[in-house]
Amino acid sequence: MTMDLKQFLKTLPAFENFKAADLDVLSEQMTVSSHSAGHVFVAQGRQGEAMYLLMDGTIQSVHVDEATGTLEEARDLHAGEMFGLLSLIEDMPAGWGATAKDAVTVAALSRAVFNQLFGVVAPIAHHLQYMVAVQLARDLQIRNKELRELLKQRAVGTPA
Amino acid sequence: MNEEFEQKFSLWAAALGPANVNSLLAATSKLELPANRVIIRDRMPVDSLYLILDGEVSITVEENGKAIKLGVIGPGQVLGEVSVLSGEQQASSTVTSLTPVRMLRLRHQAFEDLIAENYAIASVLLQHFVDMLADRVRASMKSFSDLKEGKAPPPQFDPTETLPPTGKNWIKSFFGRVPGT
Repeated sequence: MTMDLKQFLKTLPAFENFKAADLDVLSEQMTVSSHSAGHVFVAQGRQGEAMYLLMDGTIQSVHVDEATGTLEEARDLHAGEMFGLLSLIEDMPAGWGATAKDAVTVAALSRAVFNQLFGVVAPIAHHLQYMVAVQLARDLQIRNKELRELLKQRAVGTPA
Repeated sequence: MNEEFEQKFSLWAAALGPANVNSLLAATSKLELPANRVIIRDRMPVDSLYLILDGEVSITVEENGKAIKLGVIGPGQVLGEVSVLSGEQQASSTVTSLTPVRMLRLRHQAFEDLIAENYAIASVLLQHFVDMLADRVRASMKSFSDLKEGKAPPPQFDPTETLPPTGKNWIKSFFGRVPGT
């Protein structure tokens, strides 16, 4: 079954305020593909290739605490959710990994295409930019927390 | 006010243009504080962005009654962006004035209204925040990596200790840029 990305976008609350014509342009810029369970879309600590919109199936998104090496958080993403947002930023390793939990269909938006969106469908580009800023802010909070934890660990072992 | 903003936030002013600078400034209020005043408290609610026009502030994080100094920032820089963008409305560090400071205060709701209503302002502010946050994430990652490899001293201080002069804080150079608030 071929999924219609244009129609799918129009059902998403995150895109409900955009003109149908703008969503059509966005859908033409994204690449739809299907993958089997276990496919790794994003590896934590590595630059991702694209931002993805999950159209069908389940993605497991995980974050490993870099200070302790333990699994800090794991969450399942479902149809309509996006992941790999920081792939849209140059030289920005991912803070979360993302792996297909079962068979999935995704729509991908590469960084190069994202940068072109500002000249084509600016409202949607700004919306995605806002989401990137939010993700960066959340990741910075997590990273600073891990940095604090490491500082605390080092401080504990330091003679007065 | 416009002249000082254009001087201290020259890149923003150039990108925004006079009309949008006026719109941005109209959404802010002036705030003047003496030295040694806590502006933002670690893990406490934050409801505004602060654009520093004059003076210097220190950034620290607090753990178990101890404070870790992260750096010093001044005119042309912004505080509170992480809390507004993360949606948690909670500070991730303490900000204290080292000198008398003059700032513009932009409440979170006003910021969200501005970027929702005005694409020009949204574009400039969001691009600035994305660039700044990306740098800070990279700096935080590098700091983490360096510290793990033993390249930096363990920074543990008593919060009542006198803050060092601007530019002599080891972690300012360690981070390159100060992790966000």
